[in-house]
Amino acid sequence: MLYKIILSLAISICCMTAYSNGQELELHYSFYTLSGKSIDQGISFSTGGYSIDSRLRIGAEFRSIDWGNQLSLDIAYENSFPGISKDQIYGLSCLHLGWALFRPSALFSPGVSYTIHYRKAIGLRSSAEFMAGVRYNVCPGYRKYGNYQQFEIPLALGFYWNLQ
Amino acid sequence: MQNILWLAFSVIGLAACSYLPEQEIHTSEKYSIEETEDYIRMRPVDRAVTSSIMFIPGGLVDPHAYISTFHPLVETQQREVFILKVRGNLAILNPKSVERVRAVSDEHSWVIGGHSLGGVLACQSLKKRNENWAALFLLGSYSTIDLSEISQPVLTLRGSHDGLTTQGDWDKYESNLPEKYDLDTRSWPVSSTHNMTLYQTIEGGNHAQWGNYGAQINDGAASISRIDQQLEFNSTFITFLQLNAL
Repeated sequence: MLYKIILSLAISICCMTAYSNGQELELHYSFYTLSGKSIDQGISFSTGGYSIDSRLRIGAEFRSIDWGNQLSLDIAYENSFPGISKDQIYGLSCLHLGWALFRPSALFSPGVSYTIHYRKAIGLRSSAEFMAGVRYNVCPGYRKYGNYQQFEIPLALGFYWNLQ
Repeated sequence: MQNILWLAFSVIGLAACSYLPEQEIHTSEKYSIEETEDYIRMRPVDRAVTSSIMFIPGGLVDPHAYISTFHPLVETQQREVFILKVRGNLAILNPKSVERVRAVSDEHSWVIGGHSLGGVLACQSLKKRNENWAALFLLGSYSTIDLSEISQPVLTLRGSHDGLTTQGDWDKYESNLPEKYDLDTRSWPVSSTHNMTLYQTIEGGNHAQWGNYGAQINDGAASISRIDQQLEFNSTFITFLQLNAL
């Protein structure tokens, strides 16, 4: 666990450093439902991402899932709901361009997700967020070895710090 | 700044990469393979199981790489094998998973073992819940904690060309295991091997050939094939189990 946290922080700090107007740091814990199997727990860490415009974000993520460790580049589109401020509740459709980390070569491992986020401001520079949604992840190159796809129900609690 | 980002990703990528099995999974009509998020279970078909074997993979090695290791055992014997699956393929960081899999069955005796770092965790698990395990076996590994007082039989093997678990490591940690019985210079004991550790060196074997995942960084070059190394292991392991009525 400590190992994963250190890796995650390393990624996050580097991302925030690289983008000097960086947005946020998020740690979240997810419960994964493997396809046709019992509920399992997994963990992933992601950077909150860099906003390209008001609705489009990119981010990076490190995850330890059924087939091992995975790095992914995430591209997300934010949508609001009629009558609700998007500063409080919004949806996020995300394409995860992932690579399962194997030797001798990484395996492409894409995924898609849709999550709904509820954000609560804590002071002027930070906020807490609860997220729930659905996610599908597949690693076609792993098919000949074992379980190569998983459906997940991610639940996350995130904390954000505005660095600007 | 982008250079720092890519450097960080490269370091993480290398550090977290797991070895993938070289070939497709070996299957047989004589045993079934069941896979869950916690284990890969190899179970004989049409034969009653007399003991269960828990095997902990080496660090950052995909668990499927050990199916071929136990293929001869499960195909011919009345034993089932549970190969542990853990997040990130680092069992040493997920020690609770061992007990979770151990809870699957209480019908018969359990033997625990592991390869490399997995062996280290096997030793720790035995120390923690001694009553749960009837025997211990180590492949290219050693105990970093004191198990010298345990009564369970212990078997430890290494390849003579192992570049990661050296003869020096074996010698250094020998005192952590029960009394040494060297199978390289002596014949097999005639009765059970409780309170002793059987040592055997596989001539020409190396560290990576305990599994099926190709060459490993810093390992020595083997002068025997992977299949020969694994057949020799199976032969020794089966004798060890039979001698101890497991």
